[in-house]
Amino acid sequence: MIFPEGRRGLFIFLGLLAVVFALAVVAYLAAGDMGIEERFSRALGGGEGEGPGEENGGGLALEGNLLSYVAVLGVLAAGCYILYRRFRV
Amino acid sequence: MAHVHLQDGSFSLFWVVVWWAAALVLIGVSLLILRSRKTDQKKITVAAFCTAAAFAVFQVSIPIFGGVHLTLTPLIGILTGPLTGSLVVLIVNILSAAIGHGGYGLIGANTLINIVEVSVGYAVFRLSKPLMPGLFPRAGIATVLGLLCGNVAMILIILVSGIQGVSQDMSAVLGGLSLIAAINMGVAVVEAFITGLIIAYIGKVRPDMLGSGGP
Repeated sequence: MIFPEGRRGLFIFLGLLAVVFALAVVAYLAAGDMGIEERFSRALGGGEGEGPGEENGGGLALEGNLLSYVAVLGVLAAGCYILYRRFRV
Repeated sequence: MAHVHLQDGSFSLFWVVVWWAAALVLIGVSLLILRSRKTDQKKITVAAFCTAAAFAVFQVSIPIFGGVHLTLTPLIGILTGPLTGSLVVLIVNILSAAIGHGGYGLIGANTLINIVEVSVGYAVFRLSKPLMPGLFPRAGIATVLGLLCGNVAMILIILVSGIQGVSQDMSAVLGGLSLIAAINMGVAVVEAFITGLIIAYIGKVRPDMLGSGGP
């Protein structure tokens, strides 16, 4: 029996799920059908194309730059290796 | 499934450093506490499996509510605890950023959000045991509340940081983010069922894996 003997918890759980799911459906109908990236972009006032941060050159600009990704990943890997050797858990 | 789905450059360098530093402080504290304890090989194995599973589900878009993904962070919290769980979510976020799922600069913020989910999931699962002995509803409720807190943390982090190049005022951004959080919680329903079933099954075949939170 995967559902245990106590029913109170199950009722609370299902009630919570019903409320949460109803709110999610209302929010989805209000926001419209779109993917998560586009939803973020819309929520923050961006257009359908570029997301926030891309038109402003003030921040980090790694997105889409393969060399930067490889460089950062290499630094992270080296850092993790050093930390692992130094602070082995 | 709270996760800041924005590109690098969305947060200013100052806030990238702030969230990274905050995440590293928490990770550092976790490491120090873990080092002071006896190494639990079983927990490390479970954590490794959790890392692989969480990384995989992070990349799978579920075609509901426009396409979303699970995180399994409350499950990680229940199975490994908040200390080991914080290391798991850091690794998952680094690997996800490496394949373009969230920017490198947002790893700190996303790790903090996921640590909130891991910790709340763990705490609710453990603390609600006297009220609800059943594993399925307890794990499910821990998942819903963990993900709810994660979404609140996500909204707070974005509002505090601000987004570069955004012209909307704070109330409009808050409204948009609240919609995202509400839709995310719809997916939390799916994740709650999955987590509940996994924990109920583990409680049946390997109750020792759940520690004091078990049946």
